[in-house]
Amino acid sequence: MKNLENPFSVLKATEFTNEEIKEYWVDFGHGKNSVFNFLNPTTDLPKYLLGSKGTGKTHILKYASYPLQKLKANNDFNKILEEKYIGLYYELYGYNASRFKGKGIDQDQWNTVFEYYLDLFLADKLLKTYSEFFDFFKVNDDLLQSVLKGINNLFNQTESPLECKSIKELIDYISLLRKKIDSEINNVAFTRKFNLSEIKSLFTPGDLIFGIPELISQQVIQLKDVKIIYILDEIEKLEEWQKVYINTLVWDKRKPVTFWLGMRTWGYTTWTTKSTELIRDGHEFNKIDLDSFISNNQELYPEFVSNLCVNRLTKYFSKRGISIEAKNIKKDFEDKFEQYSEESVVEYFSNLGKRKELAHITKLKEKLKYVIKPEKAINSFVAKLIDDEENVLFQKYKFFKFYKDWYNLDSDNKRLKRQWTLENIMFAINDEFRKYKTGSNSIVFEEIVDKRKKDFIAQICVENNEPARNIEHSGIDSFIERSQCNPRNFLMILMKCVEIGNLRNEKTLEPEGKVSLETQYRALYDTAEWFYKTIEIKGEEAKKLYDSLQFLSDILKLYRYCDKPTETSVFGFSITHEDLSNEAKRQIGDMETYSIIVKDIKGRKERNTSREENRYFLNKTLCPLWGLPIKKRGILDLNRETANLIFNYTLKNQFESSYKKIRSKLVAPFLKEELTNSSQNTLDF
Amino acid sequence: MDYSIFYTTKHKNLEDGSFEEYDLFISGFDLCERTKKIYDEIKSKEKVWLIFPQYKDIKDTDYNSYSNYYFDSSYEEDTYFEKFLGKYNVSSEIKLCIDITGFIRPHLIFLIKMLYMTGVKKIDFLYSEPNHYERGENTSFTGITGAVESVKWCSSENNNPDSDNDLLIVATGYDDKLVQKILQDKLRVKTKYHLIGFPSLQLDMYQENILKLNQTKELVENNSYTEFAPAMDPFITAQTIHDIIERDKSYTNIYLCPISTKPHTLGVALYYLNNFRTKPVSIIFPYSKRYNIKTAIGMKRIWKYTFELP
Repeated sequence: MKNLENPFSVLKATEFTNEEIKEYWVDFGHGKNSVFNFLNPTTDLPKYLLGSKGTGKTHILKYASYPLQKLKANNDFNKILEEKYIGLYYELYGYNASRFKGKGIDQDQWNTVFEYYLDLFLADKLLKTYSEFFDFFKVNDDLLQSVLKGINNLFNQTESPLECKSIKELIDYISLLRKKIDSEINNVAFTRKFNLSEIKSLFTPGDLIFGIPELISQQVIQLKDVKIIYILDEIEKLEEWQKVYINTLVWDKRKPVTFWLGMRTWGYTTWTTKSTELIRDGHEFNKIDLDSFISNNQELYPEFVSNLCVNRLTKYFSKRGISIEAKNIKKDFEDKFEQYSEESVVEYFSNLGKRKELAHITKLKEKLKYVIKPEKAINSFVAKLIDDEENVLFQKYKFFKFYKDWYNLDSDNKRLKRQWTLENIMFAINDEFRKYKTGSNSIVFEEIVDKRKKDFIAQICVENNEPARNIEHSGIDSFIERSQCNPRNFLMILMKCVEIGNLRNEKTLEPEGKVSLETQYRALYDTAEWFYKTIEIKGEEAKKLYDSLQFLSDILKLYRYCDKPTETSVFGFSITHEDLSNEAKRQIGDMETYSIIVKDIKGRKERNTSREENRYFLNKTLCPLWGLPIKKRGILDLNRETANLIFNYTLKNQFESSYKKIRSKLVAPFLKEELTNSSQNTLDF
Repeated sequence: MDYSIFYTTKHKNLEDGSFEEYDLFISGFDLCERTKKIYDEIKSKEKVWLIFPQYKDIKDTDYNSYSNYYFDSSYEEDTYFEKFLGKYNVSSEIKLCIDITGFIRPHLIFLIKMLYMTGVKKIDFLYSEPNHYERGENTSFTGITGAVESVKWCSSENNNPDSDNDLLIVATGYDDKLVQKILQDKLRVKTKYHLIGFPSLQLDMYQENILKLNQTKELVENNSYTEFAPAMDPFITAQTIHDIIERDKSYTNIYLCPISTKPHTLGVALYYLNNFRTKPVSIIFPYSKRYNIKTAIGMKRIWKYTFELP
């Protein structure tokens, strides 16, 4: 087994050896919460295991496969058979399914070749696996020849009867047939037609993959009633018509065979079979959606990923000859993470403000140039508004109230005369704030503090180019929340913490090591960037999705970092589906499928009309990219126009002007003229 | 197979007496000065521009002043070249020269395989080296990237149903979008090698390459290795691929993906032609329907590679 320098660096089960798959296995729960309680290999019903990337599908499927069965049973084949199944695992990327199309060949021919080849492809591992059982049980030659005779007879369309005398001979024969098809599929790119004698089906599709297990189950006593589970992973790699054939196999399966199909959520696109009958969840198969399963059992998820973390650390330390109890490993590791404190951030910037003018002050002065003349009066005006208040957060509260009151002034055409009015506002704010500070009743500022504190701390950090100070929540529990019920996201954050921490000489995994807030911030940001870059969508659809995500994040960022936020800690939005165009609905569906946004299952009624609204939140793993919060508090009501502009690709050219319109109401000096000023269309962020 | 026995020569221009007259000269039309210059100056009984539909910014008025060009609107290389052999007389004895500079990679590989299967035994390839790329490491060569697929006629003829010990060798280039697509598509391949162009075409290109590779590092954390082959040498590229593959005879399937320089692409093609009958080797590519033109600036020198095909 690998001696990993970073215990979290393996993020994909495919990078593990079989031994490591076993060693690093952590079940989601025990008893009824075990993954194998609902996958249950002893039932005949096929399973469709769905999940977004990183939910652990491959680890689960491989853990159930024959090589792992052998490992778990220490190569005792009798023990394997106690499980009453043999799991044959196939990664379908290796099938190179995209070969089976085009090249001047009509679809019917491709269908035939694909179906024929799939039997040959699956039969290889099937026969090799059975062969190991025959060796172990020392199946006598008479029985073997009887089995082989049965299998030879399955090739009923050969010109002369097949006479393979050993399993190896049979495997070689099947390999030869496969090679002929490989060669034809390749050469047809030039020849433009198949040499039909090379690819002629020698048996009916399904005969090998169902027929061989059926024969062996009947004839070899030890394998009687032992299920063969074809575990086909990465179904999403198949073309639509190829998935239809797989569904057909699921429909037509014969005992003792069944299927487990692993796929990305977005890869689950058809229920059709070749006969156009639809296979149905709960009837012909059971759908197991890992994302839903985890999010419906959120109380189990923290324990599950904590166990993953402890498992990795235990292996890491034991390989270094260090033996620590699991509970201590967890506590020691958790203690390494520096805790975030709002007070420290405020104190830091307040002290900084004593040495230089902070950005929120400079920005206010700039904005006041629109309304206060002469310009030299601005400095004294701002000084009066600050009123010797050194606490940077308190300054922000006052500025917010000032921006809000400024916006409410109704004198568009008499802006220059506002000076007296703004002064009145400023004095009133100072009076009110003094009440708040002295503990007298100030409902205005108590509400501001309650609703805006976190947003303003975020603003202070970002405005002063120190976004890393705005981590908001730190430590393992926060990472679990940010991972959005996805174990790979969680492991990626930890991997980054160790990697970046080591670069910063924090000696993360050594006894005196720590993980600073800066490291945690960088780890979260890098993870967000990785998640963003690896969204598995291709072609035009990718462009549409990334555009919508850009627009959505622009809007959410605007509401958090503007002068006059109207919502609190926004990273979600609500929409009424009937307001959306079909294109916008499709886009929202795609974004949900690819886990960019997460639907709030509760939903809510619209305030005025009582219409059902859907609420969505940005995936928390992505939030650091735009400095957005992760705790649900406020939610942005997207009206029909804005929602369609964000999610309807055909309207993308209108987004910018709409964005400016919204911005002009949220960012001082609240000028309608800004609609024509393209230089002010983005926030300084 | 020792790939180092093949000839590579470099030239300031075409006027140094090293270039014989060819029977047929083929070049990809990309509107770059360097390809036009070679096309105009090379001596050949017949010259043909290949007009690729992927270069969407090329208008027919850009090339229709030339008497001989070949165009097909199909994006797929097999369909694109379907009528080529009917139009041009290609025999095993032909003196053939191909300027690979303006080619689209899958088309180049398909053409080489087609010529090889037609019996052509010797081809001179030219590659004109740019002074630099338009926007350094941020140069974008492609539009939206679609599916990762086998290059037509270059999929494995010995596909192994077992994928436990698969190998991916990516000749890694500037276009990190393409590298990312490949790595994502072949995420499950156990062992991955990045073949980096070193020495690079220009001094700064190596660093730019590494910068690009770093942007994809989360996809390749483990079981991932780096090897080097000169960016302008197809023969050492083929040799390096050979050496990697020979290190572990138990590779179940081998995927080669050429997204770096065109000479690297030649090296990948050369390795494939010598091994596709016996090894489970495929060439794969992240296809795109749009390629940008005029991404390179200037012409530093011309490389000539003489292939003697198996």
